[in-house]
Amino acid sequence: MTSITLRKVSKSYGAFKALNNVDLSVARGELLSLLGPSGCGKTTMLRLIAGLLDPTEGQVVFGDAVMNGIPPHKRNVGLVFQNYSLFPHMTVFQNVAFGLRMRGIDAKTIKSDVMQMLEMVRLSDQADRYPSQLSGGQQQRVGLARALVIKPAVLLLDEPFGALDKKLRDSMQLELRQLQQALMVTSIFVTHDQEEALTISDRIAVVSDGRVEQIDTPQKLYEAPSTRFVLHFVGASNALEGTVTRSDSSGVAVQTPHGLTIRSSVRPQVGLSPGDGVLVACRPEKAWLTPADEVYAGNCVPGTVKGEVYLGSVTHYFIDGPDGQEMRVYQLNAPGGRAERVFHVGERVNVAWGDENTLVFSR
Amino acid sequence: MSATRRFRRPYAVLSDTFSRLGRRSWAFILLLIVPLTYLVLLYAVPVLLLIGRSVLSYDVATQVTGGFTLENYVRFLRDPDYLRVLATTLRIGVIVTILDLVIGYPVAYLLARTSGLRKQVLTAIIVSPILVSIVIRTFSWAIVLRGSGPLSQLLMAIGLIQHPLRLLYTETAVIIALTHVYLPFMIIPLSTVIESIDPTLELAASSLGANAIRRFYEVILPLSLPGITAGCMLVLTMAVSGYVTPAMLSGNRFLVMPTLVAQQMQVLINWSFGSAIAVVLIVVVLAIVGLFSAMTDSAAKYRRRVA
Amino acid sequence: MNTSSGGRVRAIMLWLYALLVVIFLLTPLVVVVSMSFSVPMTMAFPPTGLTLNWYAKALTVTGLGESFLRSIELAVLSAFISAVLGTIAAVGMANRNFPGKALVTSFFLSPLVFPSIVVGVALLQFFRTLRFDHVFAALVLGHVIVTIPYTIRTVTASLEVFDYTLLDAAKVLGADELRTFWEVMLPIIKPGVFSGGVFAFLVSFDNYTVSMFLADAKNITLPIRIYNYSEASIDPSITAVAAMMILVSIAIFAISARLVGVRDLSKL
Repeated sequence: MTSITLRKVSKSYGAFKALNNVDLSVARGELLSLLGPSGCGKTTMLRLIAGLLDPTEGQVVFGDAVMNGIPPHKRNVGLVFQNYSLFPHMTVFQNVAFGLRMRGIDAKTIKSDVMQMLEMVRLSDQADRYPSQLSGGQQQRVGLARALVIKPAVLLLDEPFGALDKKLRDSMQLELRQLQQALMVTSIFVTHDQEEALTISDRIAVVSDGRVEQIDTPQKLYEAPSTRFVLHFVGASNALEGTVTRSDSSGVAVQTPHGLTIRSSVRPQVGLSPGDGVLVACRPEKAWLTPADEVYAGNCVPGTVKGEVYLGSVTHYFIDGPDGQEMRVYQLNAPGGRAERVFHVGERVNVAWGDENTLVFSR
Repeated sequence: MSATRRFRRPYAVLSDTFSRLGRRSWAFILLLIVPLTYLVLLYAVPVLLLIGRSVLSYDVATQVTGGFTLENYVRFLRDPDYLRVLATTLRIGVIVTILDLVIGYPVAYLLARTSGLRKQVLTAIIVSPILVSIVIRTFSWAIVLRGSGPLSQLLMAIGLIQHPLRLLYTETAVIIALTHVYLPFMIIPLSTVIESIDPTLELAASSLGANAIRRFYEVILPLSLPGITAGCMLVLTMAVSGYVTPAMLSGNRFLVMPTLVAQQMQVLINWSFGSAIAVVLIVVVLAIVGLFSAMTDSAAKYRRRVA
Repeated sequence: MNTSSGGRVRAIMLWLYALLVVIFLLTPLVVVVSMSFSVPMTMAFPPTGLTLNWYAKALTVTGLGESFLRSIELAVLSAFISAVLGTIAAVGMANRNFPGKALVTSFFLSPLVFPSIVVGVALLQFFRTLRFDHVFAALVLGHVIVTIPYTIRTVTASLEVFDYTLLDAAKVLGADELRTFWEVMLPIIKPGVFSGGVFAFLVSFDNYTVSMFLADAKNITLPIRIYNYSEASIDPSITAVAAMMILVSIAIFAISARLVGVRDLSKL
């Protein structure tokens, strides 16, 4: 396996730019997810790496070898498709053996490699069946086996579990992760499901409109999103628009249109000056609720409880904010402290959080 | 083993070329060039040559081919006998088309609304005559329609006629045989279109109070129009271009355009004039295709405006 | 169809009518086949006695066996070339749009409506002008033209439901363009290619109008032989020949339908 690098890659179709100046690096043995909404360009990136497309600008690099112009059958990549794309006229065995056969490997080695791989995906007893005789989950395992048996430089997966039901998806995610780590194969996983990405990835690249918004570990993406898009796409948040009133080494103060002052003690990364328009936000589990008459000295936003969902270990509160926007507070139901207070629909409350949890985004 | 090794290098070159070409978006043109070239060289070019020959003069006596002239066409269009041939051809064609439409429509409807084994069997039966050579099918009709043939005997037996039928070698015989030959070509396209008509539309119409006749007239018929035009176009073009059936069943008592062409080409060996007649036939077929295409287009436009 | 009482009556009437039409469609063929077994020389119907005489006599008709073989050779070769060219054309045009596609498609399919007598006449002049006198080759070349639309249509229909991601899968697994086509695409569209080939075979086997201009004394195809014979004499053994040809055609079709499925029939 090798590292994969995209250097200043762009892909245009006429006037439409599917990818715009993308820089991306995947380390050896790492599983990177490309996360984004439909049409953001993540599948295009995958196809570029596979060699099914050529970039309009930039380079696709495996290790230190530039791959531009090299056809897919010479790149040694493994590709797993959303709809499995198993050869319907071949048995499971023949499907998995296909890549080895193309490489001219002798029949004996093929047999042992294929059976070994089928063992790893627990399908050795299905070797002589045809894809149409298998369930969705089984078919996808065959797809995985087929891609992995050739010992690819990189494993590419295009929303592989999208066609499976939730339970199957969860177990396949786990299986894939175990397999990938056991074989230490560099992998790139495309998905639009942030939960999926958070579950299996070493790092996640959030993609929007042909651009990479942020590449980071799941934790950093969640705790320190660098753009509004990442904030909204990964996890929920409480967000308010406002104008900067103070910006110095100790943090930022922002005033909202309805006169609230929100402070952040996080040092501004981008240069912000008073008068700049910004978005301030806070993650739901970092906030708590107080009754309307108890005003918290820090960040405090008034609202009305419009929904309450008890989930056993946590309670999710939904609050109508000052602008009518929805705010959320996730409260852990552990003994002591704030959890002892229960709030009901219709109650006037304040959403409060500490300055250290305020995220600030410029326009 | 050594044989495959010998092929490896030329194969690698071939494979590389294909791979490099395959990535170009215009690679498919290279694929199309092969069959296209074949058809152009052996189909389009000969037809163009035919058109070319039709405007060359030919002296039957001296067998000398001369220069550019339109006299072949003038000769055809001026002579009432030749025009009668054209008229006969068109007349037979239209009658056959109408008969096939009327006879075939109910069967097409039935075929469209059936499914499963019955549909397969019905389809097989309808299609099966096409599998048999036109010569045989026409020959069969010659036997059936003869004075001493089974049809004559049957009709005499039930008292419909007194004397043996004198159908053979008449225009009627040709019409009957052609209707038979082309019936499947009307039924199949028609049933394909009718099948695509949402059956719940009929249910909706009946729930709104329409009886069977009105359902047919207001719902099925208009929506099956594309199938009607497709079937009619197919049958009409085939009926005016068919050679074997008129040749075998007319007994040379009358000519249609294809038999006239054959006569000029094979019997009189006047290729110039024969080619001209062939060109007139091409024009007739093109006109039919053009007419029906225009009808389909305007019908589509009407439906879009109304929708 | 609705199952109300009126509806059921209508359904029965429709089926009865269809039965009549089926009788109309099958009668001439049935008459011929039955006459081939009948005793009297006058070809009466229904047959008053059964015999295989005419079949025996038919087999002695001069040139019949030779014509049969010639027609088979011609049909096999034409069908093969037609299938190859048709598959190339269908693969080239499927799943993509290009300016002039409608025009090119119409051109490829035009031999279906273009008068085949004109094709025959045009080719006759063409080959004579070129002084091309390989008659059998000329017949093959001509038959390919009138059969190509069938192969293109059936292969195109196969490609309409083809999963193109399979080609991506093959390529990524190490198959170059040629192997991808051979290992993945071709096996999957085989039914389309095969049924197109069968139609092409039958159309060529039965063809008279193109053959009549291109054939010569050494290359008399079966339809031509039968035509000539039927004009020449009132010999009932012609019914035996006709019956045999009907049987051959139906047998070939039935076997192919078994192999590929009757669905392809409506692809006509």
